[in-house]
Amino acid sequence: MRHILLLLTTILWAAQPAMPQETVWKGSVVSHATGMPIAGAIVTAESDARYSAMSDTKGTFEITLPPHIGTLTVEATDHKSVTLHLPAEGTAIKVLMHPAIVPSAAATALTIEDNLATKQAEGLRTIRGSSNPAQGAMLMLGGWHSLNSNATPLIVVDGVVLDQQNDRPLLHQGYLNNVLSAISPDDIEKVSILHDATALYGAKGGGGVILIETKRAKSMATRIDVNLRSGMEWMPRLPQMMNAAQYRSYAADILGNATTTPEFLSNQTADKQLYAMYHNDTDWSRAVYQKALTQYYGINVQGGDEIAKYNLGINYSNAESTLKGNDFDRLSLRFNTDVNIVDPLTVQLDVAYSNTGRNLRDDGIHSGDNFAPSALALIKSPLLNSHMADKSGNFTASLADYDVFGISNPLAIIEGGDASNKNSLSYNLFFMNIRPEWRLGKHLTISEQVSYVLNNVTERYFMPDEGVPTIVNGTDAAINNQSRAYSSKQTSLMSDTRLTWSARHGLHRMKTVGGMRYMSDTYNNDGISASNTVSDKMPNITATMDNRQVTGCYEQWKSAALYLHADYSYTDRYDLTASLTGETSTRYGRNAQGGITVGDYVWAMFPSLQARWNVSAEPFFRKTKAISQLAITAGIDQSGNDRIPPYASRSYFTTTPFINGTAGISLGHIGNDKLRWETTTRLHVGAQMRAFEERWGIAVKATKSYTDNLLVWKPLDGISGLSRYLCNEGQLENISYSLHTDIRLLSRRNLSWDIYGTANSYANRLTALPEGNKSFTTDYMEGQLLTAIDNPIAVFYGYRTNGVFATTEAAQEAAIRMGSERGYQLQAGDPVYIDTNDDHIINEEDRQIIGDPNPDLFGSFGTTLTWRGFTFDASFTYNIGGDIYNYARRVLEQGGSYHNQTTAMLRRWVREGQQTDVPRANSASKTSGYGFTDRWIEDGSYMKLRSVSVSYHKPLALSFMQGFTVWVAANNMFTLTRYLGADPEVSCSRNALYQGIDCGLLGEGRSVTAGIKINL
Amino acid sequence: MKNKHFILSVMVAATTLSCTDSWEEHYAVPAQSTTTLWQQISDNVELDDFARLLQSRGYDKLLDSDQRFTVWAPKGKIDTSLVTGGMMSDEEITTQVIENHIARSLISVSAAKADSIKTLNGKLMRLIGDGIHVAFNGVRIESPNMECSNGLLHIVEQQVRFNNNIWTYLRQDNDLQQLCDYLYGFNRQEFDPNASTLGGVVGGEKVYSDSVFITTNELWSRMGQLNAENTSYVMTAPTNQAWEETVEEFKAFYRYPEGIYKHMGDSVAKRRITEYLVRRTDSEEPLPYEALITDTVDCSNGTLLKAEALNIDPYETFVQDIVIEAEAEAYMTKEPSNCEATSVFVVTGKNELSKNRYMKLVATSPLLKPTVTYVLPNVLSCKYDIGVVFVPMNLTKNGYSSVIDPKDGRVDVELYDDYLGEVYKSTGLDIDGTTIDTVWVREEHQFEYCDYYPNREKLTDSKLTLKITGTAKRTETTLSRDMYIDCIVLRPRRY
Repeated sequence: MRHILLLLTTILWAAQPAMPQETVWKGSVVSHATGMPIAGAIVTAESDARYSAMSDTKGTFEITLPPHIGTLTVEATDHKSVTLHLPAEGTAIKVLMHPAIVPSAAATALTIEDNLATKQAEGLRTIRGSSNPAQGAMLMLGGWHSLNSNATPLIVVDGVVLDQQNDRPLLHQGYLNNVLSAISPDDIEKVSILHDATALYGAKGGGGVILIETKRAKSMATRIDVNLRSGMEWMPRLPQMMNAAQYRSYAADILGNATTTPEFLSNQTADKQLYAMYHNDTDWSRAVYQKALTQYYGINVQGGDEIAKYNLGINYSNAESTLKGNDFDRLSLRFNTDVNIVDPLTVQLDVAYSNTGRNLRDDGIHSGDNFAPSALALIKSPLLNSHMADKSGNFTASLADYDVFGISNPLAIIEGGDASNKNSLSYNLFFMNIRPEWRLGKHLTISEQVSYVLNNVTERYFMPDEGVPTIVNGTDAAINNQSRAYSSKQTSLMSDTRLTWSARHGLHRMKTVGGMRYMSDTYNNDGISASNTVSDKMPNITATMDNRQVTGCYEQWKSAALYLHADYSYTDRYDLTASLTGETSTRYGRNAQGGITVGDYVWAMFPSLQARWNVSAEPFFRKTKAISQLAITAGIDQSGNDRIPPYASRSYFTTTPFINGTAGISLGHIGNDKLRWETTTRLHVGAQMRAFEERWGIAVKATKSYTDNLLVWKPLDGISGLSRYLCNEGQLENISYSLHTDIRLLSRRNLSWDIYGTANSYANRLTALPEGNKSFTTDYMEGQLLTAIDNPIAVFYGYRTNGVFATTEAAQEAAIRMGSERGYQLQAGDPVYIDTNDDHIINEEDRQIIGDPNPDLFGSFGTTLTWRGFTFDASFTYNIGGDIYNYARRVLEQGGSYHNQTTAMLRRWVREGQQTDVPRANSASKTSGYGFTDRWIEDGSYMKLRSVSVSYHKPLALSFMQGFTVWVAANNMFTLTRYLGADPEVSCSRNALYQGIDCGLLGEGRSVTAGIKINL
Repeated sequence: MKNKHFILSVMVAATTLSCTDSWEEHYAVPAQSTTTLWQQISDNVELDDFARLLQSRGYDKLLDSDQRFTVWAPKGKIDTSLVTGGMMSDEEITTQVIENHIARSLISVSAAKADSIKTLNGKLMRLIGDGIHVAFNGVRIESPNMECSNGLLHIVEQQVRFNNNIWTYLRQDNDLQQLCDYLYGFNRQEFDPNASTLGGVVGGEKVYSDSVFITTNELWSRMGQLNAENTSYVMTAPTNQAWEETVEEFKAFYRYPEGIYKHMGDSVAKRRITEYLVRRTDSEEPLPYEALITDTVDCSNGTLLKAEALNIDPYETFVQDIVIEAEAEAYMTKEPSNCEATSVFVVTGKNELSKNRYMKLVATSPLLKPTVTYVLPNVLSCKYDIGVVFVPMNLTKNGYSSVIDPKDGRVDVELYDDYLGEVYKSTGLDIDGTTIDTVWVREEHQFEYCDYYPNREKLTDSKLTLKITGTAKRTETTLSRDMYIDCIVLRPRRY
């Protein structure tokens, strides 16, 4: 290393030209709002802080600059910073500064994803799934770069890679553990999105990188911020379900041409108890939804002295869910310090602990047995009541049991499952980070970062007996009630040793970083489930219970990366960044392909080269007045994805239950020790510009990425007893565009108004698949997802329809049968399936691509207006294009069972000649297996007023208080969309293949939050 | 100006995306008829008679409720006399007429298809379209598919024919009167507490304000629920003459001695005949005879075949082999005090033994001969060959044993007929000890009286017995006194 540094230094010295004559520039700094001069503005050469000046009381300044300086930055109190190029030689520099917009103090986010979603920044797509508190979102950057491995960006917190545990199992349906829920947004200083130059993160940066920096002390002055807020969220919009009268008619249709009247339809029973049981008009959503209260209490203390500075953040959040039984709370502590131990040695010592607790219930809907209260509230018949009636027909305090249709009582699940040892999840995150840095001289620094992260999840699940039918699903004993417990622990140890060399010689600047990153992780989980506790009051699992099953795993993996990163700048016009990372991982076998073998390990290499041309710093640009700043960037970058199962390269056995209780072992996996890293190569070009006296800024970027060695499952010969194994035989491409712009609309003395907007798009295309590019379908939520060459991944693949046969004559003329020549012939009231091959038979050959979940355009826009101490802020997000498979609606409009249906089913076909788009009831049972049609595919476009807020800041000159800010914010006030589900933001899974599917998770309701921030 | 343009652009974009209308359109409750079936019927003067009929039995309220029905409302006069089902009250007949025109759920009709549905009275009705019109059970629908808030209304030209089921048809056909009288003679009216309305409890007794009685018939459980509409049957119904002839033929096998049972042969014969008259339509087992069918009648729950002669062969039907398991203690009339009886289970795998068991009878006294007596119940008044099936002594649970040396035997057998006071002896019958051997002790033995009592409480009441005695002497070492008996067989012999 020393030889390399010596050589670089020599080259730079040799290349240094003779220093030309410096020039004295005169200029003035003027307020754009008032035309008055700005005193105290600091003017600095952008690329060399040694050249700077300060404006005097007349706003004028003089700055001496060498000829290679072409760009200045200007900063002044209460004004927006300016970067501008020098004017034509001999001309005075005129700096116009706009008043700074005071950001709204409104902070309603429980997790960082909530903030990211608001801004939809820099090509990052955030897709909220469930709106349960702090549930997070599916994150995606610049397209999909993996099918079967991790498709989300890498999260790096203060330099520490955070495992998101996306692929870890949990007990409650519809709940995905969100590691980021352990980090309070109030502790976060900055979030950066890294599309390019991800090579530094080697085999982990293939999906992009999100860098999170937590708050650190900025000065030695003691500063105490107290944050208090409370809010209310209303229940989300739900599909309109049938009332009792409408349902009774529907149920009669489902009953069909019966000759006896079942009790639930009889109006003539003399039994008062029976009559009371079946003569209600219950809105079940009232039983499971509520107005949800949110509270937050936080304090942040900064301060220190010359020896040590610290930032302490303590906050507590408590958020009810609009869906009963899904409440959340979090206690978070973070203590970041910067200690100057001796002159050349500084140490960062950070410690954080977070405890999150949740009540949980299943969420989401299915066409089979449903135990999620949210689903039950939709499908349960309004004829029924949540409580039992006595012989006189008066309702008692006892909850009703499951109903005549075998559907559970949602209130019984909420109340019967309510206890800390029944349905809860506790998640603890402990984070410790030590980073000593030793300055070895003027140019050389060595640092070592050691971190330890502990993730601990404990979850309990309990399904009561009362109110729930007995389940017989092949287990040894019928299930009356069910108890499950799960715990997992992951410890991550990271060491990052880094040597940094930086130097400046005349027109050249260079910074080189070389180092080694070593990561070691262990993960284990244990789960147990059993049925039939003594009673619903005793959910703990005992040895005498039925159907006991134990699961568990222990995983250990390590990875090491050697990296070299160099930044080179020539004047302030040309920047060049190059890096090379070699990474090895125990997840891959010793025969892994595509790397360099050193000893027992195979090292994959990931290079990167990025360039930036600051055009506005060029001498020829100095006469351009309209544009103050213009830069062009381009680069090529390669990074990988090592998130394969830890033992994917190895063959192993697993335990298997054998003859009721005996454990046997069987082949669990056939390893492929030749697996290689998924490799994503990105080419990008972009430009950034500010113009018209700093009023308008725009940044655009186009990126083309190629993912090679795509991990795909390949079929195995049945003789192995296994059906598939992993291999690298796929390729895909993405092309993405992003645009960000902001405009200063008004700049007045007390009034400033900004608007901003982002627009992003990506197109995803598969270019290679195994077995001769053989396409395949994946079944999910009773739909089929096609993965095929020249298409995006996982597009919706089903049947197209063209309305409903209005008459028997029309159906007979079409003469279409389902499945085969002897299959059911479509009748009046059935969907008109499109027979693509005109053989009058609807079968798999008639399937087509019926939807693409990827949007054409997405982004955000908003406005901020400051008037005196008030700040008004509104932000919208939007999504244009992108289809949604509305599985929830499919269940609710299937028309084939006694599940309550939406009022759309009132349009169902009932008589000859009726023109409608909704098939007759029971049609689904006749066309079973052909239900995945375009009827369930909807346009997912939307525009949502994500947040609107008003805040008022009052500075004070009191000894105990510097000021305060009060604010009120409203979230999700309206959504413009054609989508017919609760919320067009849908995601049921963190897997790239399963996006754009609405499985009925909790949607977002309107909410209003008020808060106060006190600066002590 | 720029600001205005921007705001305008946002508004245009918002309008483009806007579409809460889509939500409203999709979930909006569609405009539907607000007129109920009853209102539609009662408003139509051509349906006055039908409306009055509906009101008379409370169906006006049902058709005014939020349940879903389809009504084929007949124009003009309604004639309830067209329904003459067996043992129906006037109210029941009215109900039948009404329910003959109403079906649950929505039945949309088309002239382009044929269909069948069931009306509320359970009758299967055919809807047949001829391309122009639709006929409902043969009556033309004048105004089809009139949508009401709670169902569909079809106006038919006239009252729709009542489709008899097999049970009610029997009452309509004089040729079948004898059979009908016999079957209907078992009808009973039973109180149905579930269908009745409880008025209160007086003195600890439940008092019903509305008592509901239902018709039951014990033969339905044997023949099939011939008055039910949910199962389809085929019934061979003998005409009066055929019925009488068959009864006479059957009675010959059910001759009873003087006394209280002397005339029981007639009822037993008739009941036995009914066992061979009905099959479910989906049954794969055909009737065991070929009757002389003269007419076929379609009924709402199947088909009735009128037969002028049943041609039931007794020996192919109810006159069957009688097998008495030797190991079954219920058939032993005398406890063998001089021997020990053990039931032995044998896994031969070849069905060599009846029910894979035999009785091992071992002498316990060196002085007395082992003896056992069996009753012969259910014997009919006809000729039988009577045999005893003996088993070799080396046949054990696991098959033939090579360590046991089988021996032959010798027995005396006595048949006691207490009806006649006669004893029929067969002595010195040799038994082959090496194989399963049937020893025929009586051939073509005519029983004067039958021993068939369907309600018999104990088998040992039978007055026909068979006594078997092992007669080998102790000195005859090649013979065994022990008896290994599988069963007693009575095989009918035709006249």
